[in-house]
Amino acid sequence: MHISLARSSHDVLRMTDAIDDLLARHGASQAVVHDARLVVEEVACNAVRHAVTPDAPLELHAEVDHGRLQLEFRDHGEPFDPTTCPAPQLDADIESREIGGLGVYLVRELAEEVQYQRIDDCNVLRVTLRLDNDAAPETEKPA
Amino acid sequence: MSLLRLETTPASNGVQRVILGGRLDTHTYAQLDEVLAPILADNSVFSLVLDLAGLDYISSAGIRSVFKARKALAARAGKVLVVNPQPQIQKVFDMVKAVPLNEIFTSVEEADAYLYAMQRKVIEGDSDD
Repeated sequence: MHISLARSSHDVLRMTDAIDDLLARHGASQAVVHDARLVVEEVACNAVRHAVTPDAPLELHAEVDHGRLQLEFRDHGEPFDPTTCPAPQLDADIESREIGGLGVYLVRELAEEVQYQRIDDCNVLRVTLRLDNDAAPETEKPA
Repeated sequence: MSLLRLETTPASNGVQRVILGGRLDTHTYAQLDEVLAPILADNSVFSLVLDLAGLDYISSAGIRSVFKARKALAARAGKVLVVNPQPQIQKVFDMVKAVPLNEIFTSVEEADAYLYAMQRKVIEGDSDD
């Protein structure tokens, strides 16, 4: 079990590097390392920007189990459920297209499973990534 | 370490090429924005070619920089072309439709041929204005 804390953007960099190292030890492919790093960066950046205080950092628990990377993010910010954010408008013309909302969307697309719960005044987000998901597009989720 | 490598070659015929390597993420996108700012402000540049062969990682912060460039060039009927993205980058681009598929190329030569054809069309179409 790997545990790390983040209060700042610099901490996010340490957090993503730690996940790289964890996956490297488990022989994960470059594609999986890329996706895991992206998930951690997106969730942690959002939390550091909106949810953390010096006394209440973002906490990440990570572990590799049964061929999957299990990530649990916990912060003490205002309730925020990324699983219910509307998807960005991907088909809009570039000139009218909004630039935001991509991070949360990518987390949901890349993960095998994303679960949100509000527990003890904390946002708890559990994200599961498959380690054998070699560059193949993710399996389609039911709409 | 989160490092982005950037290399620009002098613009020619309205085409500016930027070669990226390393990681384009929340820690490094500002470096790209800084390099792109004068290029996007230069009305003589119509096409920006991003050579991504050496780019290992991109996150939404990096994709936003690409979007900003596409928006800026689209405003003057220009384009951002992407060359040689690695599979993990291509996958993320596809997921968010970061760049239209017909504006992604597997070699610089292919992108050049596309630009040449586009320029010919512009020159031939000039009489319509």
